[in-house]
Amino acid sequence: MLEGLQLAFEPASLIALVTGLALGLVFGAIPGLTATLGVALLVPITFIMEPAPGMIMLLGVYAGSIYAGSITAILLRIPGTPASIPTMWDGYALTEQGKPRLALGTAAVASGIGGLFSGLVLIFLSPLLADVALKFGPAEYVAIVLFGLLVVTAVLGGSMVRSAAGVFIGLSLALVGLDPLEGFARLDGGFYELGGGLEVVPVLLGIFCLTEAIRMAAKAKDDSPATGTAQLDEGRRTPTAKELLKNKWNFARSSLIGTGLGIIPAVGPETTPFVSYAAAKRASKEREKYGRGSIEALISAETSNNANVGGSLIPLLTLGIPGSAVAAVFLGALTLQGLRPGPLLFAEQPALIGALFTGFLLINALMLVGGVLFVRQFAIVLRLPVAVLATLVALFSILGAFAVGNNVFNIWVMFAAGALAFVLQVARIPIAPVVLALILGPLLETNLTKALTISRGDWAVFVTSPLALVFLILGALFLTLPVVKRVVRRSWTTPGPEANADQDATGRADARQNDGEERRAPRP
Amino acid sequence: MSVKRRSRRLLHWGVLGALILLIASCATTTSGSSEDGGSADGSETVPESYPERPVELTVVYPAGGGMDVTARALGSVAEKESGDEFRVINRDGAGGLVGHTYLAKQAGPDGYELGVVAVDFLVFDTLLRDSEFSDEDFAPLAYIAFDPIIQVVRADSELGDLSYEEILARGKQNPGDIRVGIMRDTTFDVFTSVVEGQSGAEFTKVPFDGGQPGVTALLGGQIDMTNAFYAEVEPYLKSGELKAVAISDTEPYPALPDVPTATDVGIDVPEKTFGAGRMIVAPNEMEEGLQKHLADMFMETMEGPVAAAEFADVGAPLDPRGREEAVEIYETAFKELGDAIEQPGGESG
Repeated sequence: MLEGLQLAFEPASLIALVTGLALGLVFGAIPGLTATLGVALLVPITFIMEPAPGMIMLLGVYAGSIYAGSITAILLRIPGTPASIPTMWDGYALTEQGKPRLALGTAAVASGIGGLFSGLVLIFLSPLLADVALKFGPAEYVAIVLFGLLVVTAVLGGSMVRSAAGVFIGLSLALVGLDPLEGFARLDGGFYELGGGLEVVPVLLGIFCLTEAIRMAAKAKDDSPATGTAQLDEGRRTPTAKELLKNKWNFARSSLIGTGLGIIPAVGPETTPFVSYAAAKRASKEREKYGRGSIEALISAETSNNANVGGSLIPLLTLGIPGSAVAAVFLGALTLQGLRPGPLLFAEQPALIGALFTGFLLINALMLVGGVLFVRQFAIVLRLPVAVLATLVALFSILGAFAVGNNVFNIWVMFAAGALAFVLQVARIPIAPVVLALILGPLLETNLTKALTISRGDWAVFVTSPLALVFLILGALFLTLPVVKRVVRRSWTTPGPEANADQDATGRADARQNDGEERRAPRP
Repeated sequence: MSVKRRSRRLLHWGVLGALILLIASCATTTSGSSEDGGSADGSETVPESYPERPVELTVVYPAGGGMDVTARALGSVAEKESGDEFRVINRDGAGGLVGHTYLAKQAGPDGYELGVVAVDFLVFDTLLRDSEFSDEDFAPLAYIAFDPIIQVVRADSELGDLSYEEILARGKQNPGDIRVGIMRDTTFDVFTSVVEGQSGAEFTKVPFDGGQPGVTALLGGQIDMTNAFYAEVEPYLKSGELKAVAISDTEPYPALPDVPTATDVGIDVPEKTFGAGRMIVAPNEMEEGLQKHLADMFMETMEGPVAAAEFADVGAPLDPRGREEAVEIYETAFKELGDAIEQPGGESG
């Protein structure tokens, strides 16, 4: 461990760390250039480096891009990576309210804290938690996916019917491609490119980035900056100590959710902030503020998606199981260095593991401090004329869509997804459930198949596994708790006018917020 | 004024930068449609200018897998030996079908788009799956190595104490009791079916998206046995968590000399057929001269002094064969594997 500490503080490692982090910031901030792509592009460079600095650089890119995806989400309402969609809701609302600095600073602090927490878990609990990761078999995945979808339907949007419709659309889109059991082509319209299913990244680019580019372009005639520039130099950039203390349970919960979902292989960083956001909202006393610039909501999303990074490294390093697409590329990079992640890595390469762990903590500490210090530099993007931004966003969306599998077809997928986003907006169906169902759909289907093959058709497998049962019960609670609470309150207290008014106000606020999310267009 | 001028300058640079990126990324991939300046019709010589840009090695599986590692090692050695640039591109999806179709239908024959494929997986894509290409679409250039399937069980499980014959006997007595991880409609699937057909054992075959997920499920106790390649199970075999019970070939695996082969346990399989026969292929329309040039170059690369060390470093097997042998192996694989599907139990489903 001590040797690892030394290795991490060598000049070469430190330079690699800062370079990686900086490149990660660039990749994360540019829509279409995802964390996966950033790490994949840098893998060949690590060949000519020593293992420790090389891997630390990749970790920097990974962590940095997950964090930086939130910068554009906050400033421009464009999630740089799929993991920053929930950050966008409240972060962009804060920017609209003239507080981009506060939003960026809060995101940096929350990212750093989440990352550091997951780093400590990684260092001290890795071997223990590796066994937990292995407990997640097909039946458990089915339960956790259902849990995720229930949570989103129940908590994020206002109208449960509309959210359910969104889930249905998302799951239908997830069916496109060869079916995992027999290999029959489904809903692919004759395009072999769809055999592997819809790629998530081009769809997200179409839904979030292309639509935003068009909206900006429509506005470009005014030749005004994207948002007011005056606010850039005003206002605080970090939450106050009091605000942070008030959120201590929020930090703890979000870090735990983030790290926990990171450890479970195959539940990637995209899902995590949705669950964390929903949990925070469910526990919140100020639920009506969610989606309209709540610091609390921003913290829950940002803490969890960076905590996910450390979590995903646990099955990766201890078992050689990649927990996400980025982790898979990282795994490849380790293999190419002649290092085999797995049970023997810790015993054979203690110094390297020590260096990686130390590097990971340094990266997150640097991200926290640097994120706060450079708020003004990040926010400079708001000074760009809208026309430039619109052009750049559109270009990078096309590039990003193409970069997925180097396939021109994905550009068309992106345009189609943009059209779908428009239709959904008209139909007032929230986007979040569609997106989450699309991401989780294949996981649900393949694992349902596997679970039932393994149990030879016995559906009881989903309740006889304790882990699966826990997630199903949790999901059911999320769905029914508000109803149960209302019923209990109604039957146990005399229905006074205040109680009713309070409830109605919350209900209406929720509905309004939902509309706000769909209809909100950036205004200077 | 100055704000406006600055913003205009920013606009210029921004658009310029984005355009350069766009063009750069297109230039490397649209080679299929672009015409190569040097090659005249019908000529069998390689244009002197070749290669003018990096040569792409398409891998049809995600980065980090056995195929990817092999292709990257190959690219890196070829770069050192030939001085040309090689770039590994992962066109994954639908268990390889997307990438295979790309190589067959879209890759240009001008020498800039080659594939590093496993011939068995290619065969089953054409024979068992709904593919739009056939064996005619590819021209083998050189053979890299053969990697047999290794069947593994958990060392601390009931099967861990049994020999392979005993496992098969148990599969016969209690049909469907043993759950085996496969990848559907691939060599894993067909080999398991062949074992079932010849031994009379009956397994419950659980489909996974790759060898690694099957290994994970085996470690987690969700299945009882799985098919994998050596690189995927090496750490667990060394740590003693998993135990290899059979090799899908006629010869023992060098790293596992004590593990019985299919032949040892009375399963009749053709030599070096079930597994991953990794080779470099080109689109079939590529000119003879260019094919020969590339084949010679790769053969020199793989027989050179650097290759053995680099391949060993990343744990990828290397047993290079020239173009003629590669073509023979390719054709035999299509024939033998086609026959295997006809065997009792060989038809998967």
